[in-house]
Amino acid sequence: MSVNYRANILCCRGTSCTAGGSREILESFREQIKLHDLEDEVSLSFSGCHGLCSIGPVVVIYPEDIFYCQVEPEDVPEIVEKTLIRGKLVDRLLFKDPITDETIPHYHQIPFYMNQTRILLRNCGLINPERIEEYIAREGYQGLAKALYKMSPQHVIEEVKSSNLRGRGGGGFPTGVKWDLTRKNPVEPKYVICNADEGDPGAFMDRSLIEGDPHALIEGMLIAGYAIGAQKGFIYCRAEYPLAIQRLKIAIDQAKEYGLLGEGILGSNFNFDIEIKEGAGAFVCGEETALISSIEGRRGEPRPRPPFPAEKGLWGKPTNINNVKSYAFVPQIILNGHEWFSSIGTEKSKGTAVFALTGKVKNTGLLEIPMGTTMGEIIFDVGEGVSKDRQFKAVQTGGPLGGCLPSDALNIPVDFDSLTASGALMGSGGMIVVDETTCMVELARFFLQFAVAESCGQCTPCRVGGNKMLEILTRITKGQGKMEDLDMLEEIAKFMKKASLCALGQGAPNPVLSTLRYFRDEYERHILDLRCPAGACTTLAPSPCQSACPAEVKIPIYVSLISEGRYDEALDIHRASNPFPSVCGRVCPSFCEDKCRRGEVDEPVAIRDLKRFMADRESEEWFPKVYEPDKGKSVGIVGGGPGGLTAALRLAQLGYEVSIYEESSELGGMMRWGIPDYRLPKDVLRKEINSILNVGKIDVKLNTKVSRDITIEDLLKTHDALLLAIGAQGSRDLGIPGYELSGVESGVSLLRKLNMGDDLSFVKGKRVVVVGGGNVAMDAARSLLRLGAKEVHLVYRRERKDMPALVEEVEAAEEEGIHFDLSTRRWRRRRISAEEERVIFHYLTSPVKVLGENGRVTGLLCQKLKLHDERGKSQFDSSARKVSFPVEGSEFVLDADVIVAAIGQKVEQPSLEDLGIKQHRNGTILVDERSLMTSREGVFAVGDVVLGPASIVEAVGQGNKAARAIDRFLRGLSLPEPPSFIERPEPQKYEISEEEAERPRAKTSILSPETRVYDFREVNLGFPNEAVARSEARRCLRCDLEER
Amino acid sequence: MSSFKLKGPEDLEKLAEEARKELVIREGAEFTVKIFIGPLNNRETYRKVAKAFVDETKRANVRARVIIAEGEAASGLDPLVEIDTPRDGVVLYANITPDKVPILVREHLVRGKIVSEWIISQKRSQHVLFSWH
Repeated sequence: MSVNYRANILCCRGTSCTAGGSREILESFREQIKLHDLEDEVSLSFSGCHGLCSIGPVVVIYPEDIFYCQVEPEDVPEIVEKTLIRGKLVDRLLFKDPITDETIPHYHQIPFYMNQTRILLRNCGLINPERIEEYIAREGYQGLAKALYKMSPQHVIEEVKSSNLRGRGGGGFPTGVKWDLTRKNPVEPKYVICNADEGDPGAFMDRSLIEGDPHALIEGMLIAGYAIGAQKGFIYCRAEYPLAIQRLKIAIDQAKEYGLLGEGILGSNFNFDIEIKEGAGAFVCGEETALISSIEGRRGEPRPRPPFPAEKGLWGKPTNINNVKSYAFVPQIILNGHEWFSSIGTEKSKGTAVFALTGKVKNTGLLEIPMGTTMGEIIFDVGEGVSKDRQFKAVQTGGPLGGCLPSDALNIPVDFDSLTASGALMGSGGMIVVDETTCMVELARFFLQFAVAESCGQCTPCRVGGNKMLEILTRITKGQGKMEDLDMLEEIAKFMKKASLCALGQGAPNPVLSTLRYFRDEYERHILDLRCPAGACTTLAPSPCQSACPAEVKIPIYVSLISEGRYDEALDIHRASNPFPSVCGRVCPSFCEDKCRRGEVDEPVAIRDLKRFMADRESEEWFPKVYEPDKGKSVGIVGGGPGGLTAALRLAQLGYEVSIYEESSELGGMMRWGIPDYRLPKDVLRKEINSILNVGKIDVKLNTKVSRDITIEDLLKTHDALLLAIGAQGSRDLGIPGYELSGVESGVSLLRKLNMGDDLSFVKGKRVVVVGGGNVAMDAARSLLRLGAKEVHLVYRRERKDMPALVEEVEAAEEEGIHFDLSTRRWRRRRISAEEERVIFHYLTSPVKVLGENGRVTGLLCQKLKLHDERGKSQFDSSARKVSFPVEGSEFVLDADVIVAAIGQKVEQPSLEDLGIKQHRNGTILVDERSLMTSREGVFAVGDVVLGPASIVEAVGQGNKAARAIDRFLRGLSLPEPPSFIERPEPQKYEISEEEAERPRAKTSILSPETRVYDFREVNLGFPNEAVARSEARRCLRCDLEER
Repeated sequence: MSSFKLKGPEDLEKLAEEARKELVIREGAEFTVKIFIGPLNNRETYRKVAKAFVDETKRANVRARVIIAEGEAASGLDPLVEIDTPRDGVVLYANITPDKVPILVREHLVRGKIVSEWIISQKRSQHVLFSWH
C-alpha cells in the first residue's frame, strides 16, 4: 500500500531550472527530509517547466500551493524547518510581482498564471513527467481509449476537422484536412512524424512541453496513427534537447510497459510504435521535406512541393507531419469534443496558442492564451510590461522568419490571419519583446544573419539574396549605407520571397521588410545622420548615454574627469555641447541614465547628479571662447529660452553678432518662468545665463514682443538670418463644461505668476484640484502645498506608471504628503505616512464638469476610469499605454476653490503663414528636420515651437544644430550639413575595480519632507561630499572605449 | 505502483482512479483541514494530528487538503483545527488529538455534521455564524 503523504514538494526540473541547480536542490531536500524524520509525511518529486523560467529554480509545496523561486540548495533547510514543520513562509523566496512589488505566496495567484488558459500546458509543472501514472491521473490516454473503442478512424478525423485545429508549427494548415489526405492515400505503409526540431532563437515551447508532459505528445501521435492508418511514428527532435529526448525515451518505455504503445494497444488490434530521431540542429530541418530527408539518412535539404508528404513522404510513402503542439492538442479534442475546442479562440483560429515570451519583458517564460488575445494583453497583462518600465518598441513574432510589429500593433488579435496581415507570422510561438534600447536595423540584421547561416545553400535566391541583404544591412549599421540601399533591400526581399524553394528563404526577408515598413525612419537616421537612435550600433553610437542625449554631450569623458577631480575640464567638455550644466544638473530628464549600460547591471550612473556636482565645484566664472573672427553678419533670435540662448552662444562663438528679442523682463524662457525655486533656484539660472552672455557679441533686448513691439519682417530686414525660439507658452483648456469659471487656472500660468513674484496668498487655506500628470502638474501641486493650500487633490486619467512627470518628482510629491488613492492593484510601491496627508491623488480619474456658484468654482465632478472595456479586454494607444474607459455610476465630486489645469502646453503664436512660414495644425512650426530651416529661406526654428512641449536639453540640442545650419546658410554652403560620425576616443582596455563594480548608486542629500513643504528652498542638495561624487563617477563602465 | 498491460478502457480507468488519489494533494480539493501550530507548541503532537487526518480522509475516500499553518498560542485550546467545507464554511475545533480525528472525518467531512462538543467557532465567508469566544 502506498504511503499517505501530507505534503508534496515539487521541484522544477525543466532545462532552465536544472541548469540553475534543481538537481542539487532535490538532493538537499532528500537529506533534510531524512534528517527531520519526515519521510512518511512529505513526498519529494519533480516536474517539468512551470513557465516562469527567469525566476528559477522553482519549488512548489502542496497542498499549501506555496511557490518559492530562485531557490538555492542552501535555502532548503530553512524551507523544511519553517514551511514543512512550522507552517510558516520563507518570505524572501516568495514571488514578488514586478509591477506592484507585492509578495504573492501562492502559485495560482501569480498574475502570470492567472491570465492564462492552460490546455497544452495544464500538466507542465504539476506532474512528474517521468511517471506515466501521474499523466494517467490527469485524464491521460483517455482520449486514445475513446478513439480506439468509441470512434472509427474517419470519425476521429472528422472530430479533428470539426475542431478547426490548425497546425501549430507556424503554417496554420488545418490538421484534420492533412490527416484526411494521408488516410485517403491508398499506398501503404503510412507514417506519422512529429516535428520537434525547434530552432528559432528565443523559442522553447516544444522543448518545455516535451520535458513537462511527454505523454501528451505520444498520445496525440497514437491517435493520429490510428486515424490515418499508420503503425509507425517518428519524433524528430534536435540533439541539443537532451532532457527532452531523455524524457521521451522514458515515456515511450513506460507506455510500452502498460501496453499503450506497441502491439495490441489497450487490448485493441491497433499497433503503433514510436522511434526518436535526433536531429543535428540544422534550422532548415524544421522544413518538412528537409526533415524527411534527414530521417531517411540524407542531407537535410528541402525539395519542391508538390508532392506533399501526404502523397509522397518518408521513403516515398504517405506521411503526416505535425508539430509537437498540434499532436498534444488532439487527446483533449477527442476527449472533450470539437465543440469545446472550437468554442475557444477566434472564428478562423481556434483553441489556444503557446508562446515563449522573451526579451525585454518583466515576466519571461512560457505562456498559453486563447487565440485572439491581443498582443498588448500578452505583453502587458501576462508579461506585466516592459522590463525596467522602458518604452515598448516592438515585438518580433514567428522567430527569425517572422516580423517585427510596432506599438500600433498592440491591439492586433494574436491569430494566424491577423498576424500575417500585419506583416508578421504566428510561427511556432516565439515572441521577443524589444524596447527603446534595441536598434531595429541591427535586430533585422541579427535575424537575417541567423537565416543566412542556416540556409542550406541549395537555391540561389536564398543563398545569394540572403548574403547580399546581410551585406547591405551590415553596411548600414556601420554608417556606410546609402538611401538606394533601402530600395535594393526591398527588391531582393521580394525576389527571395517569390523564388526561394522553402519557407526559410521565403521567410528570411520578413524581419527586414517589417522593420522597413514600421521603422523606416531608423534606417534613414543610420544613413542620413550617421546616428543610431537606440544607441546600439557601436560605430554610430560611441556610448548609449551620449547617443541618448539630445545635445550629444560626451558623458563618459566628463564623468571620467569628475572621477579624477578635474571639474573645470569636465565642465569644458560638457559646455562644448550643452552650456547649461547647472540647470541640467538639476532638472534634466536625463535620457542618458535611461540608457546607461550600468543600469543593466544594477542602477544607472547618477549622471545628472554628477553634472550638478561638477557645476557647483567650478573654480571661476566661465567666459566662453570665440573660435572664429567676426564675420560681419548678424542673426536675430526671437526667444531667450534654452534653445535661443544655446544658438546665440554658438553663433557668437562662430563670429556672428547676435540679437536676442525676449518678450519677458528676464532671459530663460520656461526655465525662468515655469520651474519653481525648490527645483531650480533663480540665482543658479541667472549665473548660468550670465556666463553664456560673457561670450560677448550678444545683444539682449528684453521686454520686446514680436508682433507687438517689432515684426518679423523688421527682423528679417535687420538681420541676415532669423531663428524663432518662441516656445510653447500656452495651456490646453480643460475642455469640459464650466472651465471658464473664475478659479480655474492653467498650470503654466500659475507657475508663471509664482515665478514673477505675484501675490498668491489667496491660495492659503483653500482646497485645490490639479488636473494632469506631467511635470507642470507636479510643480503646481508641490508649489500649492508650499503656498499653504489646505488640500491639494491631483486628478490623473491614467495609472501612476504612465505619468509623464519625472519619477523623482512624483516620489517627492508623495513624500511631501501626497496620499495615492489605490485605484488599481498596480501601485503599492510606496506607503505614505497618514499623518502628513494633505493631498489626495486620484489615478484613473477623469474630470467631467467644473461646478460653480455665482461664477466661482465650488468643485470638480469626476468620474472613475478603468483599464478594460465592457468585454474585459485591454486596449492600447500608439504610445503603448492602456486606454481607459469610464466606469458607469462612479461619478464623485471633489470640493474645490481653485482648479489648476495642467494637461498640456501649446504654441501661442499668431499665424506665421502670411510670412511664408508654414505651421502644423497645432501651431508648431514646420522645419526641415536636418537643417531646422522653416519653409522661408533664412528663417530657422528650434525648441518647443518646433517640438511641442519638450525638455531643456532637447532645445539645447536643436540650438547647437540650428547654429551650425545658420552658419552654413550664411556662408552660402548647402543645407543640411553633411552628416559626420560622433567623435569618440580610441578603443582601449578599461577595467573597473571590484569595489566600483559592487558599489550601489550614490544618493544625494535631500531635505526631509517635513521641513521642505513650508518654503521654496532647494530640495535636492547634491552629493554630500567630493568622495561620494568621485566614487559614483567611477561606476561608469566607459562604453565609449569599447571596440567597434 | 507496479505496471501491468492495460487490456482496455476499464483497466485504464481503474489505474487512473488509483493514481488520482496521489494527485489530490496538488490539484486542490473540496475540503481543507488546517492544523494550527503555535510558536511554542510541541510539533510532534501536531504532526500526529495532521497524519491522522491524511490517513482518515484517504480511508474514507474524501478529497481533502491537510495544511499545517502557523498560529498563535491559544492556551488550553491547542491543538486547534479548522475545517473548511463549502456547505458549513470554516469551523474551528479545539483540543483535537489524534484519537478525535476519525470522529471528525466521519461526522464533519463524510456525514456533514458539525461536532458541536469540540467546536469553538463557525463562520461562512466574513459572517460569523457562531462563536464561543
